[in-house]
Amino acid sequence: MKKIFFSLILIPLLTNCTPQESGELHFDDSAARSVATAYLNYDITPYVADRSYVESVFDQVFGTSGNADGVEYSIYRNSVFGGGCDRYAASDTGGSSYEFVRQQCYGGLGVVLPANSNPMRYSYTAKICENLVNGTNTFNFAMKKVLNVSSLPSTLPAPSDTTIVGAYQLFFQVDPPTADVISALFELTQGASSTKESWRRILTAVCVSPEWQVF
Amino acid sequence: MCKRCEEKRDLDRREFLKKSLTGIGSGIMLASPLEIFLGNVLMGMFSRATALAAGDEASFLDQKLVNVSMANAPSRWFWDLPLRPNGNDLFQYNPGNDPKSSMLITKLNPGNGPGGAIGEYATTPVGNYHLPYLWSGKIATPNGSTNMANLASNMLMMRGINLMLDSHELDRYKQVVPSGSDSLMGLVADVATTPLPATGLGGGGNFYHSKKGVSYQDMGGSDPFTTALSPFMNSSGLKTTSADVGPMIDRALNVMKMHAGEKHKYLPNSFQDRLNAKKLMSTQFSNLQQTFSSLKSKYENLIARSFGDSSLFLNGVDASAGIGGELSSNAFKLYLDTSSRVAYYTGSDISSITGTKSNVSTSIANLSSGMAVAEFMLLGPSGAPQSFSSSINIVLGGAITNLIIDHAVSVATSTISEKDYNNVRQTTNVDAHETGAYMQMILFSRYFRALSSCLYELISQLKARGIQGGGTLFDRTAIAVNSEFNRSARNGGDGADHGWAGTCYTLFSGMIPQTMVVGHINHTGLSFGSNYQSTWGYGAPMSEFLGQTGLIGNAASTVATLMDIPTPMPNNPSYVTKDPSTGKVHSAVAEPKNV
Repeated sequence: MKKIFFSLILIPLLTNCTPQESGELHFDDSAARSVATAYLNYDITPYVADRSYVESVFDQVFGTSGNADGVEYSIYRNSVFGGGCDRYAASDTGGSSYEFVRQQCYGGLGVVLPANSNPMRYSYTAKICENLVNGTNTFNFAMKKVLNVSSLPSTLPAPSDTTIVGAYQLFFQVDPPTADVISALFELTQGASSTKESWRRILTAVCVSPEWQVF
Repeated sequence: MCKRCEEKRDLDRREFLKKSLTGIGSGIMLASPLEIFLGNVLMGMFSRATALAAGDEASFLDQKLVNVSMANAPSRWFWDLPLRPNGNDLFQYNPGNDPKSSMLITKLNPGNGPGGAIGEYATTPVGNYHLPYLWSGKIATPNGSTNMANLASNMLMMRGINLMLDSHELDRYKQVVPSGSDSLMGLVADVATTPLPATGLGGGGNFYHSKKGVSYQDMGGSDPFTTALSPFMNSSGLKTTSADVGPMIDRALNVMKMHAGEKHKYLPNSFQDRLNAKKLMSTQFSNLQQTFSSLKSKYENLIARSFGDSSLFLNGVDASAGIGGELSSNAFKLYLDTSSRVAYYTGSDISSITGTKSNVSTSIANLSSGMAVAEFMLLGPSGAPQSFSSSINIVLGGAITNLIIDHAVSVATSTISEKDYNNVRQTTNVDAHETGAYMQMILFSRYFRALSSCLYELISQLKARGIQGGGTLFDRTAIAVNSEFNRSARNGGDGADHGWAGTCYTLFSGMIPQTMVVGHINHTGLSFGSNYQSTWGYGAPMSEFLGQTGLIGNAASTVATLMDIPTPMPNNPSYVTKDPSTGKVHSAVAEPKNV
């Protein structure tokens, strides 16, 4: 009975939200799920990247491993990014002394904190991103990946559609950017003082986007 | 997106509520399945980004929920549990109906003997109801005092709620997580537009669960404002916040956001989180610790005066000398320690039992801090149009614990060993079990006077803050006051136990147009146990609930009605309905009665 009831109601409602020129019904699957799950008082919590994932992305994109303690500290010093206790990720400073153990394990509790989307996460993300984009080594590391070269040319090429896609896919490896996203990123070059500055703006925008942290 | 849908998104939140078919909260309890379905469709169309379109000012348009949980469960008949709301309801003190040995006294009257006094369950008329006698007194304000009855102008007391469970901790959670999964605090945060949607202190995070992954920020510690806002500070010099590049980055991300919903339906929320972060990163915060200290100090002063300002003392409650006489010794019993369990207050200067020392102001743990956090998170920095949070959960500590400070203990040391005295100072075992009728009356009256004073000040601040479209922030805010349970008054007047089958739940909000009391109670309490044969608040059946007593789900649905959120307990109707055109609630149940 419930399925029949849903069918009767969804058709007129979703018809109203259908582009009129299409001439056919378009069932918006996400909208239907939203309605149905709300009615059933059941919903899905999004997966949000925990600190290990975030750190690994920064490591892959900017080559932070072992040479960017500031990044590691920013991620690990608080619970904003969530995640489990990873004692093996601590840095051995010698003399049985380890960095970050308390931070990683939240004061030794060893709990797994759920990762959530929240403003603090994106504030830290922005600060980390801009720190990395403005760092010479980390910027060069990322640009090599963008341009797919082993060593950077003495003069960086201006951003193009192809290379903007490369920058975007540093963070979003699965989905290529749509044309309007490429265009929007290209617009960031307007008024830039140099090609390097253009790239820094593009990398910053892609890096601070929440999209790669929610899946 | 069709034009009609776009138009719907363009409605501001208030207009949306006015124009929606059901009003999510108002209709959902009593609505047909079709109405519920339509309500959810419309709710789904409303995105939280819509409300933010107007800028910072829009953050004040969120429905705000402040939950104040009174841990350890004070006896409620002194404050928000009217036992004779109509003035002539069925009532009995205990077997023999003798007020001399009853827990249910709210006032002492002169007795027959020299210096004697006799207890009474006294009331005072407030609005259309008779509230406990304490409401006839005054409460402290920053500049003087006001009648406590003024606090009741926008108040709903729900009584006779059966929690179906006896547990300090679990029943406390049940107040805001009634189903065990969806929390009222989380449901409010899920639709919030404020940058730190859910905050609180004192363990408020234990009550919290967001279905959309919205996180909770703890506001404990000595400098909570800085702690909460520090991630956003020191942000100058960033491209993200710069005047030239920042807007360009925003535009690029806005294009990404347009596709975000196709990948994950809650991903747009994360884009909003980033914008909220940027907003805070662009704000220059200063003197946060000083701001917290100043607000906390304001509430500490109110609390201290509630305990020690003789101009606020209420005749028959805070009487000073000569108490004794006809009251049984049980009425003076104090539960001071786990080993001796019982001591009797032997001093004659009752008024100073809670002392007037400076530490009185912190004797109710988290009250001053919690109110400071609530005021700051709801209203933002002085002069800055920014509401930081929409869901604030404050767990107060103590109840009787800590109210009895050094002075009272020292007065009572004739029956307390040195070891026990030290234990009293170190442990938090003092609660209502072995605290006699008179001691409860004076201690809890002061506790509730302090709470009332703080609530009145917070509400005054909310009323002073106008919002777009008319009205004040108090019209968008509900303050819920609850505890794990009420107390079941023990026969003999020597203490009170876990009254889980007769608790109460109180709301303050501009959405509540007057003083309201709902819920039926049993006047004998007999079914709860032979030790509790009095009118202490034991729930009674209500015809609107198909002959069930009120349940915590009914209270939760009532909160949901005010908040315009789906109730976490859809099978338990609300005590009220909400008029979408006015935003005000009306009772959906019969007048309260004792059966």
